[in-house]
Amino acid sequence: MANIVSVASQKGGVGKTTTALNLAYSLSRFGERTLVLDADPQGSLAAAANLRKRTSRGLVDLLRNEASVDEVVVATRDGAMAMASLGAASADDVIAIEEWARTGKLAEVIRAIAGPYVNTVIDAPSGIGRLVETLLEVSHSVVVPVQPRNLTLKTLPAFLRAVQHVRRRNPELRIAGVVVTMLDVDAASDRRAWDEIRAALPEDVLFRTAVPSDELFEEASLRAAPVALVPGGQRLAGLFIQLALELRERNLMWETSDVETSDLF
Amino acid sequence: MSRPRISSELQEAASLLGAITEDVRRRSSPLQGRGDRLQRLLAQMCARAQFRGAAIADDQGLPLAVHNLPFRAEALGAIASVLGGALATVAKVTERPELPTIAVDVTFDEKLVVRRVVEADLTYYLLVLCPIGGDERGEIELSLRQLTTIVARS
Repeated sequence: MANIVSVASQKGGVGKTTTALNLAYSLSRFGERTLVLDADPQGSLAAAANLRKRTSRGLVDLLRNEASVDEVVVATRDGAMAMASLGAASADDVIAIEEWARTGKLAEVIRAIAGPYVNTVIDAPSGIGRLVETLLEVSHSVVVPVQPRNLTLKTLPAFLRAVQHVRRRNPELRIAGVVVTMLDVDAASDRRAWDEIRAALPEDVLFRTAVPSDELFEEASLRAAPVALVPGGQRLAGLFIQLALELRERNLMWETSDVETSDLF
Repeated sequence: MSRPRISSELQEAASLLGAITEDVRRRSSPLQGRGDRLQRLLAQMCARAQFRGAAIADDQGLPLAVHNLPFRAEALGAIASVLGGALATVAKVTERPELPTIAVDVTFDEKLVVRRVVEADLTYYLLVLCPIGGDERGEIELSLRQLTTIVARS
């Protein structure tokens, strides 16, 4: 059974796409076949990675029986990662997606394409509508990016209440963690907010790794690549490797959390 | 450094996160969930290492979890029991109690590897169906820690 993690938040522009793409890439570096799914009708991740260079088909075509899985899920050059998108090109597509989300067909298709992969990372759209609920219903865990800004932090409780609501239908869903993104360490307000977040949130929920604000992410987006493949991007890539390691550590702790023995011998 | 002032939204978020985490822990039933966790670990191991399938059985050959093996449960039990027994016998006569693995070619392309695992005085067998010529040992050893942690509870 694949491990499906959604990267989701209520507010837009907090770095979900950047986090999803680079986290998926990092997970794939550990030798774990990883699928990254752009589940945002706006198609930000597909655009960021130039998926259209390889396919114009998406889950909407799969759901309409107008494409095969091989036409929708595209492997990267090294084969360690694959990518797919919703492929929603029109308003009709977006309406159809909402209907498929409501009837459960979208969830079925996502589980089916995720099957062959050790990890599936889903870039969710912002907000907490039916589509996001469906993505959380198929997920085992959710990574929640937050910017160290008041407006983002104000929306966090509403999103967490939505997660509680989805857990009634998907009791497996857990919070993989909250990750601080777009942190400007030169801004006193950001540093204060970061201190506040660290003081407030439980250690086993807040990822130790924070993603800084950096022009290289824009450069990576222009080059349609993870930041690891951009000249000078190795430091930032290292942070996403750290984030991926934290995620794997938490998954392992969760999977072995029912052990009662406390003796070493 | 003095503790920063925490906004009400962050306090609420912290409370909600605590509630969700506690609910997740409370709902996970160790006895009922063990089979699911084992099955999931087997599936992840197979996906990582490109194994066709795997299973874990107790010392009687009774499967505790199975992932994608082309054998019926009764056949699996017999295989685990016979090969596991052979492994135990060879280990005894050669006085090599640490001898853990036996492999049998089941087709021209695939072999069945049986790895004996002893945890808390109980014996288990990990069965893996994998390509002949591959080196499955590293992946099996890597996954064993997770598997034995789960089966340690009886």
